[in-house]
Amino acid sequence: MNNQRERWTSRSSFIIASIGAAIGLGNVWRFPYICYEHGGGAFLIPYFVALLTAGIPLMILEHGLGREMQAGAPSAFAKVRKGTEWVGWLGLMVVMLILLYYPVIAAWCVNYIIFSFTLGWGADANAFFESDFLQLSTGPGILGGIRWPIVIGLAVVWVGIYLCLFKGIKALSKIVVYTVIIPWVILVIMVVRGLTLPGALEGLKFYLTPDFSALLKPGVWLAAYGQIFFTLSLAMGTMIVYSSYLPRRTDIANSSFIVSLANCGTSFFAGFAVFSTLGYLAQAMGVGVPEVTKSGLGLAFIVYPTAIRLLPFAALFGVLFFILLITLAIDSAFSQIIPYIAGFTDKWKFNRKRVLPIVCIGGFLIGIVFTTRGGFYWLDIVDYFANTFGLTLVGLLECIVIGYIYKAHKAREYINEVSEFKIGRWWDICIMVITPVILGVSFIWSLILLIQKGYGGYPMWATFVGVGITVGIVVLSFVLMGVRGKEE
Amino acid sequence: MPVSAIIMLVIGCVVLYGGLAYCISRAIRKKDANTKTE
Repeated sequence: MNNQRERWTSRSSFIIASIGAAIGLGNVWRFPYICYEHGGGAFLIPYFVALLTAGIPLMILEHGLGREMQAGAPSAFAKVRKGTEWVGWLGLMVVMLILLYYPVIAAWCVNYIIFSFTLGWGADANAFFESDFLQLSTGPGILGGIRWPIVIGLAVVWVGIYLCLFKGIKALSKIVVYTVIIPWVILVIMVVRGLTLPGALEGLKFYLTPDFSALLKPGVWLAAYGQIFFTLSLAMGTMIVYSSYLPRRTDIANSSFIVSLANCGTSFFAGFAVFSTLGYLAQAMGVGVPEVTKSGLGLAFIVYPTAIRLLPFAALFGVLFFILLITLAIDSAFSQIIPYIAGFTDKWKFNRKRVLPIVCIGGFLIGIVFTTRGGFYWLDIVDYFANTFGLTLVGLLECIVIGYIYKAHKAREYINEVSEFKIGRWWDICIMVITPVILGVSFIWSLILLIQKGYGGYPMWATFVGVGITVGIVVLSFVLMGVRGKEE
Repeated sequence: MPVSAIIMLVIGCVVLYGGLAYCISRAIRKKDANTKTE
C-alpha cells in the first residue's frame, strides 16, 4: 500500500483537470437556454455578479481547503473540526447519486453516434427518442424491460472511465489535456458552422438582445446564482480533492479565477453554437426561434438532431456533436469518481486500485435501473433532488463550516500566503453572508414549491421516494462519519 | 442584430475572455519570474 499522496504533474494539469470537471453538459444545454429565458443579454449582469460573489469565492474556498488539508472532502472537514466530517461525506453521497445516472446520458450519446451515420432519428427526432430509443413506459411506477443498446453503451462508458483512471492522477494529467481540448475544438467548429448558416443572426438575436426589465425579477437573480453554483461543480468535493493533489506553494486564488472564467467563457461560447443552429432550424421550419428553443435533454436529443439532419454533411456534424457531449460527460465523470474514491482511501487507507473497479462495476450495475423503459423518469427525479436539495445544502454547510467554525479570515490569510494575488475582505463577506443567504433562500424556495406542487407532475409517491433518498444520504453521511477510520 | 445585443456581446467577451487572458498572463509572468529567480 502506498501512503504517499499522488500529485499533478504540473499546475497547468491541475487547472485543466479542474476546468474539465467544471465544464459539463450543462454548459452546452443549460446556460444558453437560461440566458434566453431570463432576459437574454441582460442575464449576463446577474450572471457576472453571481460569478464574482458566489462562484469564484466558493471555488477559492474549495481549492484552499483541499490544498491546506491535503485530503479529500470528508477528511478535510474532519481536520477543520471532527464533527463536521459528515458535510464532506454528504457532498460525496450526492456525487454518488449523480454518478449513477450521468454515465447513462453518455451511453445515450454512444448510441446516438452510431445513429448519426445514418441519421437514424429520421424526420421526427422526438418520437424516435421517446418511442423508439428509450421506449418510455407510462410513468416511474413501471420500469418495463431493460433497453439493451443503452446497457451496452453504459458498459462502454464505464470501461472507458476505468481505463482512464486506473493509472492514477499522473496519467489523468495527460488524459484531461485531450478530454478538455477536444470539446473546445468541436465547439469552435460548431460555432463557425452555425454562424455561416442562414437564419443564424435571428437565433443570436434571441440569445443576446437584453430585456433589462428582467433584472427586477428576483427569480432571474436566483436563476443566475443557481446556474453559477451548478456549472462550476461546486459542493461535490471535486475541487477539494483536486487541489489536495497540488504540490505545496502552488497558487490558489489565480487558479480559481482561471477555472471559473474558463468555465463560464465556455458556456457563453456554446450559446453561439446552440442559438445560431436554432435560428437556422427555425428558418428552415418556417417557425419562430422560441418555438424550437429547448434546454437539457430536449435540446441535445430532439432539437439538435433535427437541425443536424438539415445540414450539409449531416452525419459528420452528428458524430461531432455527440462526441462533444461524451467528452464533456466523461470529464465530469472523472471529477465525480476521484473525490468519491479519495473519501474512502483517505479515511480507511484502502488501495485505490482495488476500490476503482468496485466503484465502476457497482456504478454500472446500479445504473442499469436508469436504462430501463421507466429509467428516464428516475433519472429526472434523482437529478432534481441531488442538484436542487443535495448540492445546495452542501454548499450552504461548506460556507458555514469555513466562514464561522474555521473562520473566513483565517482561511483567507492562508490563501493569500500562497497566491499570486491577494484576496480582500470582500471574500469573507461573500463566504459568510452573500453565498449562504442565496443558497438558503434557494433551498427554502425549492422546498416550498415541492411541498405545494410536487415535482414534474410525477405521482406524489415518486416525490416521497426522492425525499427519502435525500434524507437517506444525510443519514448515511453521519453513519460514515461515525465509522472509525484507520488513522484514528 | 440590435445595438443593445452587440453591446452585451462585447461586455460578455471583455469580462469572460479578457478576464481569463489577464489571469493566464499573470500566471505566466509569475512562472517566468520564478524561473529567473531559480
